[in-house]
Formats: sequence, C-alpha cells, structure tokens
Amino acid sequence: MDDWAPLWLSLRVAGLATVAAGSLGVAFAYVLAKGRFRGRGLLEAAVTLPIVLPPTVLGYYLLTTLGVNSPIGRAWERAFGEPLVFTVGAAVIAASVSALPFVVRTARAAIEAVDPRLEAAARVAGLTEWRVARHVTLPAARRGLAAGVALGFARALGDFGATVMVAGNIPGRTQTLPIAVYDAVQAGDDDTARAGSLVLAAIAVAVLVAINAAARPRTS
Amino acid sequence: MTAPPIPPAPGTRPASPLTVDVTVSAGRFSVSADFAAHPGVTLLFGPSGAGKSLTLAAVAGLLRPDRGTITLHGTVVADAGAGVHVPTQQRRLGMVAQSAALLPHRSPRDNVALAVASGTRAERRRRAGQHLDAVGAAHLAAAPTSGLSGGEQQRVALARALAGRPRLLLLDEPFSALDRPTRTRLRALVRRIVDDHHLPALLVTHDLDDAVVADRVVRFEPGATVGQDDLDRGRPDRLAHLVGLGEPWASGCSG
Repeated sequence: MDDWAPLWLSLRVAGLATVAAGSLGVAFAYVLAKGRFRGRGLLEAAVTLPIVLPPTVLGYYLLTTLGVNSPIGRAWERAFGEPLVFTVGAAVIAASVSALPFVVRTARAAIEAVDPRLEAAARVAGLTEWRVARHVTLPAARRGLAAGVALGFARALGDFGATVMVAGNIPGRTQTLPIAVYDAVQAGDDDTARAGSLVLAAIAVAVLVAINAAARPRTS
Repeated sequence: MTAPPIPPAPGTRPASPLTVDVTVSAGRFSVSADFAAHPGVTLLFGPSGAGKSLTLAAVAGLLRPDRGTITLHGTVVADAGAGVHVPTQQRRLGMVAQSAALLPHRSPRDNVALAVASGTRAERRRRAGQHLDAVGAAHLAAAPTSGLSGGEQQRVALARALAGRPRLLLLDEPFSALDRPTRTRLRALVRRIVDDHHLPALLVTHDLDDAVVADRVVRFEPGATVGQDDLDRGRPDRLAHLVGLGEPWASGCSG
C-alpha cells in the first residue's frame, strides 16, 4: 500500500471520536448507574441503539439530522460557511455515535461494581456527591472506564457504515481506512486491501490485549 | 481543639445527642428501633441479623426510614411523615465499619484529608496528619493503603471519622475482624477519643466484651429494640446478665 493517508485520517477521526464518546459516555454511564429518574430506561435504550441498528440505518438518521436541510446542518453552515456532512467533522460524529454505547455499557458496569461501602464512608465523612464521584467512584472504577474508552476507540476506528453515509468516500478528505479497504476490494487492488485489513486487525488485537492486561489487578 | 460541651441551664436536662424512633426496611426485612443515646458510648447489642446495622444506616442517612423520626442534637434529621431527610453529608457524623472502606488508590493521609471539611490542600493534609497522630497512626501517613493490617486500617478509619468534626460517632462492629490484642487496644483508643472529644458514640456489636467501653446498652432482638439499660464500665459482666447470658451453668444446676 503506497498511500497511507486513510490510516492517518482514521487515527485522527478515531482519536477525536474517542475523546467525545469517552467523556460523554462516562457521564452517561454515571447517570445511568446512579440516577433514579423518569425516562432512565428511555435514555438507556437511546444510547444503546447504535449497537443494534444496522450501521447504514444509523448513518441515514445521522444524515437526516446533520444534513443541509436539518436545523443542525443549517446552523453549522451559517457558522462555518460550509455544510457539515461529507467532512471530517461528520466522520468524527459518526464514529463517536457508533462508539458511545461501548463506552457507556462497559463504564456503567464498572461504576456499578464499585464497593458501595467506599461511597457510603465518603458520604458520611462529608464529601459532596460531586466529590464522591470524583475522588471515590470514578477512580475506583478506573480500569473499567479505561477498558470502555479503549473499546470505544477500537469501534470508532473500525466504523464503516455510518461514516460512509454522512462523510462519504472522498479520497484524501473523508476516506478512512475501512472505507479505503472496501474501495480497494471493489477495484481489485488486493495488496492495498490486505495491508489495510492487516493494520486494522492488528490495532484491534492490540486494544483487546491491552484491555485484558488492564483488567487483571496487579498483584503486589 | 474541640469545644467543651455547653453546660445545661440549671434545672434542665441537656438534649439527648440522639433520639431514634423509626421503622427501617431493606427488602423484606424491617426493624423498629426506639431509643435515645446519651453522651458516652451506647451499645446497640443483639444477635446478627437483628437490624442493628440497618438502624445505624438510617441514623447515618444512608437509608430513609419508613416511619418515625430521628433527632440529632435537637435537630430533626429524618421524619418519614413530614418527608424530612437531611442528607448524610450535612449530618456531621463519623463512621467506622467492620470494613475500613479506605480508598485503596490514595494514601492513608489523603484518605483522612478528603474528610477535612475546609482549607487549602496543604492545610487539609496537615490536619490529616494531626488526626492520624491522635489515633497513633502518624507513621502510616504515606504507607501503601492496601498494605495496612486490619488494626492499622481501623485506626486510619477512626482518624477519617474524626476529620469531619463529627457530632456523633457511628461504629459498626469496628473490632470484629481484628485479633484479640488489637481489639483490646482499639477499644481503649475509641474510649479515649470519646472522652477527649466529648463525642457521643453508637457501637453496634454482638460481642459481650465490648461492654468494657460502654455506658449504656440498647438491646435488639430480631426486628426490634427490646429495652435500654445503663452499664457500669467497672462491671462489664452486667451486660451478660441483662441479656441472659450470664452464669450459663445456673439454669442447669437449679433444675
């Protein structure tokens, strides 16, 4: 493979998407794990939806939400002078939405697994709910949070369907590595397809190995 | 450091530090507790599963009672009928449970410093050091928290409990996971803290030996309190007589 632009673009998109889905996902996970409010079930369903929806359907809805005729799309165009769809920004949004449920589900399980006695002791000691979250719950759940963010990164890096719907397949602009692999297969360019697939698979394996290593508590 | 208690006006009784008259539930189990705590150490004594810890959790504000009221130093902190529930954080309590519940990712000093209510980071850490010193754990300030022995953990937990300047100390079987010599030392430490700070304390236990540090006992049977009595620290065997465990040979010989 002689053009590595799709790899660098993929890493950039996945990196930004990981920041977005990571911070948003941990916040959602905390609210879902701790909150008791009306509409919690609905919120949970909404953030989980990207796992079960066909990626193209997810992409279609994103396209409708962010497109030039949508309020968000129009507001974006007024502010930045160009449409949001078929840009790197749209690719980042598609990857973030695809990655979000993986962060939320993993992080939520980690937050719920924190020993409630630690939190109770902190509350009795006078820590506000915000400080309990910051100093007790989230640090105690940090391995699970890291695993969730890593899974989110892997998912964001690999997104194809949603990204191609909202960001298109513009070589050098929005063509991420998974899309470049698809293109290469279509064009009969076996070398490029093989190299791109190998890189993506290697990164995925590395992420999974790192998650497993982090999940094992260090023995002292 | 701690202000001496305000002497009551002549002819009036000081308000009880704590009065409890509640029903608390967890799942299908519920306990009805009715007692008042006095200055000094009040045992909540009874068999495992009687509802002592559940009662303590309601006093701490970690559970809302189904019925009744809890009054702390004259302030109603829980009233199920009126929907009053003062958040745990505002009740100014110190708690030490069977598990010390220290944060494993922070040093003992940081664990205590987090409970210091105000001040810069440096001031909090300095205060934490003083509290650790007061429980004989100054040398553990920077030790790895996960490497502390059971007794060391409970000392740090006591320091943390004191760091919030509590008005009431809640002790939920704090000695039960410790070996006998450590238990004896920590009992003496708790007694000294209670006396030095004029701090009322509730001590949940099913261990008759804890009577040596107690001034009073609230007796629990499964699901309810059944009475309260004064104890004499000089005569710790009184508790055994009260709960019918004294002179176990007596019934056998009389028949």
